[in-house]
Parts: sequence; C-alpha cells; structure tokens
Amino acid sequence: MKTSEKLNILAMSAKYDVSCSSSGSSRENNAGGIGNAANSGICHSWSEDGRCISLLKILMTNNCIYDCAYCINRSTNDIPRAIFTPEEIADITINFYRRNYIEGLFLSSAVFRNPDYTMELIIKTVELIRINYRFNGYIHVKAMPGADPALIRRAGLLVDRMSVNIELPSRESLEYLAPQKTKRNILTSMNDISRNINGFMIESKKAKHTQKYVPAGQSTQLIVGATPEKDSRIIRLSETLYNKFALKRVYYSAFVPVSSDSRLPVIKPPLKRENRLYQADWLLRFYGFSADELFDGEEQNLDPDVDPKFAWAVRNLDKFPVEINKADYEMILRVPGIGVRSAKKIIMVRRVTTLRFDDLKKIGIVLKRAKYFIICNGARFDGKNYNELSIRSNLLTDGKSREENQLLLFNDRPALPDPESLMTAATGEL
Amino acid sequence: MTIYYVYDGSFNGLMSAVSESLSKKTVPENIIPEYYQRENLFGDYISITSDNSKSENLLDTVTRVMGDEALSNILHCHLSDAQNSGIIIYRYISFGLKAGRKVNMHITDDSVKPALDLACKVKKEQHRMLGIVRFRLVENGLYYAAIDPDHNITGIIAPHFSRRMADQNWIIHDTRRNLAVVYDKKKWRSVEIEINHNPEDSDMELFYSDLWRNYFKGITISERKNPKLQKQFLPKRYWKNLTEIN
Repeated sequence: MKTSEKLNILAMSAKYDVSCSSSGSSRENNAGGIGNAANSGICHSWSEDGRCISLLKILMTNNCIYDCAYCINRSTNDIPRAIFTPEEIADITINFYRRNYIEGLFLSSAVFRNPDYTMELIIKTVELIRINYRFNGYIHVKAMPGADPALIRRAGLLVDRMSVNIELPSRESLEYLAPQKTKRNILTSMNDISRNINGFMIESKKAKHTQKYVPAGQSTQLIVGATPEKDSRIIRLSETLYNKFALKRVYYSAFVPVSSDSRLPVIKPPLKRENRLYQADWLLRFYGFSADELFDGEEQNLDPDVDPKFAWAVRNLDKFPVEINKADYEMILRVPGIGVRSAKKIIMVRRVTTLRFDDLKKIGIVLKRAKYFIICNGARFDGKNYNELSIRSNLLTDGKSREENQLLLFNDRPALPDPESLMTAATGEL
Repeated sequence: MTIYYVYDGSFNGLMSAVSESLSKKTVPENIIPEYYQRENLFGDYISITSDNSKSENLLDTVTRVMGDEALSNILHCHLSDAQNSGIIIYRYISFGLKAGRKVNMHITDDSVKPALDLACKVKKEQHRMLGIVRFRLVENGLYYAAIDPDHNITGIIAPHFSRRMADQNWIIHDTRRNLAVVYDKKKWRSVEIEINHNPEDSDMELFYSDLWRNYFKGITISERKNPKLQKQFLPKRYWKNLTEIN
C-alpha cells in the first residue's frame, strides 16, 4: 500500500482523538539534532472545524482486537485497515517538521494482537525518531491499558506526554459499550505513569542530570453523551483524576456516531454540553473551584444557557458584590466576566492606582456580566442592586452574549469561561 | 505649534529623536520615519540625524530606570506597522523615566496602555508566525519560506527557527518588506533581498506537500464544521502562504 493511502486511513482513524496540545515541555535541541519543544505550545494550523492542528495525529495501526461500540476502528466495522512501519512514521514526521507543518507527533494505536505488542511497536517507532533521527520536538503517545509496566516506563523516557483513554465516565458504561476493556486496567496504567512521573521528579531534585519522564505530563479523554451519566458525575471524576493522578488535562469529546450499534443513542454531537464541561473543568484547574461547589444545588447537569461560573455566582449572591479595590485574588477570580489574566491585572494595577469602572474596561473586562457582582471604589456600576431573578432575565434576554459563547464552542483548547481567554486559546498558552 | 520629528527609520534614529525631544522638553505631535507620506500633516518638521551615542545613552537609561521588559516593549512597538508608534514610544519613555520599574503596572494610564497594547499586538503576530511559517525544499537543499506579516517580525522569529531547524539551510523571506533572514547551519543574519522569481521546488517537495494537504483536508470532523471559528484563529490574510489551504 502506498504511504499516502496509509496516511489517509490512519489519520482518519485518529482524528476523533481530541488532544492536540503541544505545551508543557521545554525539551531543547542538541548539537546535530533537529527540533525542540516550546513550553507555551504552538498551533500550526486550524482545520475547517476550527480545531487547532499542532501535532501529526496518526495511529500506528487501526487493526483492532477489540469491538468497542462507539469506536470507528472496532473490529466488526467494515473499513480499510492499514499498519505503518516505524520508518514510514519517522520519515513523514521529520519531513513535516522540517517544513514547519507541525510541532511534533501524536502517536496512538488500535490494540493490535495484544497491548504489549502494540506498545512495543510504538516504542520502536519513537526510539527510531528520537535516537536515529535525533529529533527533539514534541511527542505524545498513547499508553495501551494493561500493557507491561516496564514498557510504559520505557516509553515515558522518550516522549513528552503520555495518555491513557478512560473512554467513558463510569465502570458500568465501559462494561456496557467496551466489554473487552476494564476500568481496572485503565486506572492501573494511569497509576503506572503517575508513579513514574513522581519518581523521576524526586530523582531530578537530588541529581542534576537525570532523565526526564513525560515532562509535559499525563492526560486522558472521555466520550460525553454516549452514556447516561450526568455532568456532576463527569466533573467529579475529573476532579478525582486531577487530584489522584495529577493529570494535566482531561479532554471531553462530544459523542459523534461513527458506527451504528443498538446500544448507542441516536443524537447529534452534544457540542454545547461539551463546551460547558470544558468550562467547568477550567474552573477546577485554574479558578479554585471544587466539584461540590459547581453542583451545590439540586441540579446535577450544567446549565446550557449560562456558563458554570455565572451559574454558581447567582446561586451564591450572598458572597457578592466584591470590592474590586480590596477583595483578594481568589474572590476576584470568582466574579463572572473576570478571567485569570484580568484578575492578575487587577491585583497588579491597584497597587499603583485606585480602579474605577472605566479602568476595568481598559483592562479588557466585559462589564456586561461582571457589573452585577462588583463594587468599584464603593459604587455599583449603575447604582442598582440585583437579585438572582433580575440578573438572569437581564442576561438571558441579551442574545448577543449567547452568540459569543457559541463562537467559542469547539476547539482543542476549548472555550474558557471568559471572553478574554479567546486570546489564550489563540496563542496556545497554558 | 505642532512639531513633527523626522528620523531615518532606524531604531537608533528613533531613539535619537526621542532623546532630542526629551532634552528640549517639547512634546511632538508624532515622530515619523522619513519615508512616511506627509501631505496631510500640518506643522513644523524637524529632521533628526541618527546619533549612536545619544541613542545608546537613552537606551542605557531606559534599561536602568524602567527595566528589561520595558526595553522589550519599546523594541516590539518599533517593529509594528502603526503610524503612531513613534509618539507612543515617546510617551511611554517619558512617563516611564519618572515611574521607574513600576511603569508596566500602570496598565490603565494613557501613556502606558497604548505602548503595552501595541507591543502585545506585535508579540501576538510573532507567536502566530512561529506556527504558520511554511518552508519548501527548493534547489540546493535550501528550505525557503515566504511570509507577509503585518509587522516587521522576521528578525524576532529568526532565533526560534535557528534553534529548532538547526541542521538545515533556510531562508525566511518577508515579501512585503523585501527583507529576509538567512541561516547557514551556524548562524542567521538579516539581509535585504528582492527575489523576483519564485524558487523552484525540489523533486520530493510535491510528495510531502501533497501528503500534508491531504492530511489537512481529512482531519476535519464534518459533523463539527465551523469555518467562522477557523478564520477567527487563522485570519484569511495569512492563507496565501500556507501550503495546506492554497
């Protein structure tokens, strides 16, 4: 089979994987080598669905022994199958990289023969690229759940990021749709990676020149909308993964029906829901929220009409308004319409001047939402006090703000709770 | 009276003009390079000769008083294509020499904000360009890239590519400004060039560029199509030099 045909097949089979991040590693080039990693991450292009393209995202093979209902590569699906040789992958990666098409490689695979065999193929490929081709750019590989811990250890010493897909939000759903996979295997492999990361971190504090193990950290992804779990269950799961395995990212993938199976719902991809989950996820990681706070009411799903930070704020109006010139950073971060960047600016600029509403606009804060929750220099924006009902009705009649939210919908670096973050998404920071 | 300082377009020239104007305590309307059109500007034009020692003195003072970050902001503003970058830099320095290292905390001040915003715009394009420069392998093993950036950022993206593409010969050519950076596996330098013919692709080029174009086309998930979002991240003015969208 020609290389171009293989690339078509094996890129097609990989594209439903969400992650494309290339940030978090600052691997340097060495003499005679090619490539380095940029800590901020770099986006190289954007496809027609608005997703960032940073890495060459392909499968080693789409020959799979498993028959997971939701997966395009399931063994019973009638699609063309292919397998790359390590040399082919190395050649495409290096030649794409030299032309600055990509930031590096994201190599995943279907489970071919067995998890260990597949893992060995992946390692062989990455060794070829790192050692023979002296490539120092970004590499992300999937670990096959249930693979020998020794293989996971070897792979981690070569790559920048490793991930194990948790696939679905609960054990029951996994048993139902992916009966050949077990939650135990998935969590064991995650735990292997996480223990190695910690181990090497302790080593590197002791000695100067220790090897790096998965310097950009571990991530995972799960499918949303194929199974009945509520948002609260998903966000609690993410919280546990962040706390227990120190994951860098959990990716949420709106279910796209790519194979027909009576166990699957017939729906359009729940993109809005995916967007809200990302926003809630951001609140966990950067805004100091806990899952308990995000679901402190009766409702166990996120409100589709407003972002979760706003929803939390109107449920907790007793904590507002906050005085912009005095409140601490943690509380300013909780004001709807103020993001991490703006909050930091507020803390900085108020050391040299007293902030008025005009100044907030100059900082780039959209007062449309923030105004209900803040006092500036002792005064309300328009002298009025608000209750939950008036805030909601004011904001919901404002169709424009909803439209803006939709623009931010889908994207590898997904929509953040605040408009300012669009810039962050565009520059690929974080 | 409305005064305009006119300099030769170089960074030293601009610094000489700022220095001159600070010492004379006259606030100019703008500080403009000599190649700007002036028909619509009424006032007195004062020509400033580039003076290296004046420029260096001012830069030393700026670095000492305002700090490295301020110096970097000034450089980025100078690289912008904004017509008023001269006066923005002047006001920033004038304010900053009094405010000292805290200058960049005054993000809401009218002398500081325009400079920070302008520098930010240039840095944003600088970062974007790191991703969207596209090399082609042309004759003699040379990788050639044409770019057409809004701001004059070729010189500040060169260090990134010299670290990254360290073992290949490459040229990044700003076709709008007839500038290029040339790298020879050892170091990069800036040159003025005018390439009239489009360098011809090497034999293997079509193979890899075709692979890339097909990969790019195939990766879209059609159920999620959103061309508006794509254009928001990747404005159309950059498309002409992109291998994958042409």
